Amino acid sequence: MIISSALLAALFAAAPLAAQEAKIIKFATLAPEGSSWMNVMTDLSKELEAKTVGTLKFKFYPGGVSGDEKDVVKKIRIGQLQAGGFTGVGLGEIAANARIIDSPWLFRSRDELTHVRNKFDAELSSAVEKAGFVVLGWTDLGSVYIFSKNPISSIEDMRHNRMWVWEGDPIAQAAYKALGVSPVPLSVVDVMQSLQTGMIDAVYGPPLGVVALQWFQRLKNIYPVPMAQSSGAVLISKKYFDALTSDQKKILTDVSRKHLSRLNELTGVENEKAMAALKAAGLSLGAKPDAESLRRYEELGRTARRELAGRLYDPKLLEAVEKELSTFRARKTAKS
Amino acid sequence: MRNTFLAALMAALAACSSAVNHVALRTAADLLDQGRPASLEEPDFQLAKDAMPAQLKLLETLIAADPKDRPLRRLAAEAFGGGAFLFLEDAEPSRAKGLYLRGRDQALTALALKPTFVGLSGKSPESFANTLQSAVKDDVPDLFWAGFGWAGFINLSKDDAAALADLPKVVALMTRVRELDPAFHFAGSDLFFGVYYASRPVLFGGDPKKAKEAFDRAHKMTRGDYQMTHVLNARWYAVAIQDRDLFVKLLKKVLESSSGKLPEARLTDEAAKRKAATLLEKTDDYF
Repeated sequence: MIISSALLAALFAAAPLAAQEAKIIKFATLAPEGSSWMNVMTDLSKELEAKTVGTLKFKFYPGGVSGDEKDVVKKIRIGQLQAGGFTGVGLGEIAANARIIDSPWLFRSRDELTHVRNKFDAELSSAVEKAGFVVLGWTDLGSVYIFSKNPISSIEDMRHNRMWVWEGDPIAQAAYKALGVSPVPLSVVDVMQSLQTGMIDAVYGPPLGVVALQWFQRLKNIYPVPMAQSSGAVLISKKYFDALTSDQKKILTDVSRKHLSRLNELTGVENEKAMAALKAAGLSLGAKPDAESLRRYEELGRTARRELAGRLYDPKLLEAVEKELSTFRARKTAKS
Repeated sequence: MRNTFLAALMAALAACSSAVNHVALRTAADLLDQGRPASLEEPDFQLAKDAMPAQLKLLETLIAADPKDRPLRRLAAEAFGGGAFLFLEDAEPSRAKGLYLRGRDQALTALALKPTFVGLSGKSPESFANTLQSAVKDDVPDLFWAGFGWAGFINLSKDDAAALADLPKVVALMTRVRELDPAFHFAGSDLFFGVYYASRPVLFGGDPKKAKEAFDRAHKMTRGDYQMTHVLNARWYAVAIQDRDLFVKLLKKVLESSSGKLPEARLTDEAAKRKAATLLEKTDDYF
């Protein structure tokens, strides 16, 4: 009896959900169909559809068919799309403050990135919300390494190479400025050709990116110190999100967090596999520099971040992030 | 009928002494080679699909008995790759991956019968491409089916960085095919480049203009009579440029066409119609 009335109550509770017309979230990403990204998004959509009794689901525009990230931001703003998967570039277009987590030589590991991203979730999310978007989840893109034709074993070597910088990428520009390197600014589309002609002889990116972009076939070396831990996010239009029922909002948020944290695990594994594939393709990973050189990068990181504070992100936020990191490191050292 | 033939062949093989054995094997291999056009001209899609596993196993049996038979390896590369593409990849992608790789490996082994190509697949992308410079027109079927199987495998392995890292080698194989014999297998190298340039975002090296040029060239070389050209054009190019009308127009044209206008294309045309019907049903998913 108790069971059947509970069942009845549950049925009635579900009824208003089921009676609504199905809403579709049009989602665009550069990741192609069949990639881990899209596999996870497909699972996410299936669970969302099941839990909202068919009232809310995704429709996908993978493989960049909706244009690059700047196009996708525009299309979301005019309501042609509702959501997208973004790298730091798209994120920077929306809320420059959120790019603080992409800062040069800030994190020593993915653990540190995850810790800071969780700790400052409110600050980062509110920056995104002010720009008209809601964060469905932060995504890892991987450690950013320098890949070069000639072996690089010091900052001095970097100064003697033609280092590429992504046109309009303030983070890498600040990093190279701190290193005293004058990089060659080019769009991503021109990198392959420019590696071939010799206009540039070194690039940067996460291993998976360098494999997907096929740049590695013109490169021979990997510098072992990551420049940054690159992040992205899955964002949805705030206007669209606000118009959902409170049940739908909660389900969408919960289901997204669950699947996107699984995606971050997968991306970590894939970047490791990509690194192995790069070595198998003949690229060699240089020897790790000594402790003194690593300390030098941390100093350069601080210089580069000061350069970016005020211009790209809030200096107070930077201060708070750096303070939190020192505490986190001190706690870790005390434990071990 | 097919089973009777197979059983008789197997019985004949088993019964033969070693000298006669070789003759029997040779005859079986020649029969299969001569039977190739008949397989490709098969108008009944289901019959061809049902016959595939037995044919593949027979080919492998014959190759085990005579591993250096280049025409047999070549035939197996085509049968595994073509079988995966026509019959398996839409319904059972994980099985198709295995078949694609077996096709690729048969073709690479066929190539490696020439000393220049020994250890080819393990080379770096750059030295791989350089080695292919010594390939001649006679090598084209091996180059093409190695590239075809490899491309099919990578296309179904987009969540696998190790697979993706081999894409430059496929590009090198198909580039060499296009240089040596662009019309080979219904302008197959151009069909590959059409898909290659259409399936990747512009940021990742995709190029809709180059994709269109490749599909147009393939269309011209086969006078628009090879139906798979239109299916691939719709699935990859029309979707990449988000042209729904073009997608529907191309696929409807395939459904209305008559199969087998070109020699050895009837079975593929039948498969193209099935793929076109499935894609048309999914139009709303792509646009």
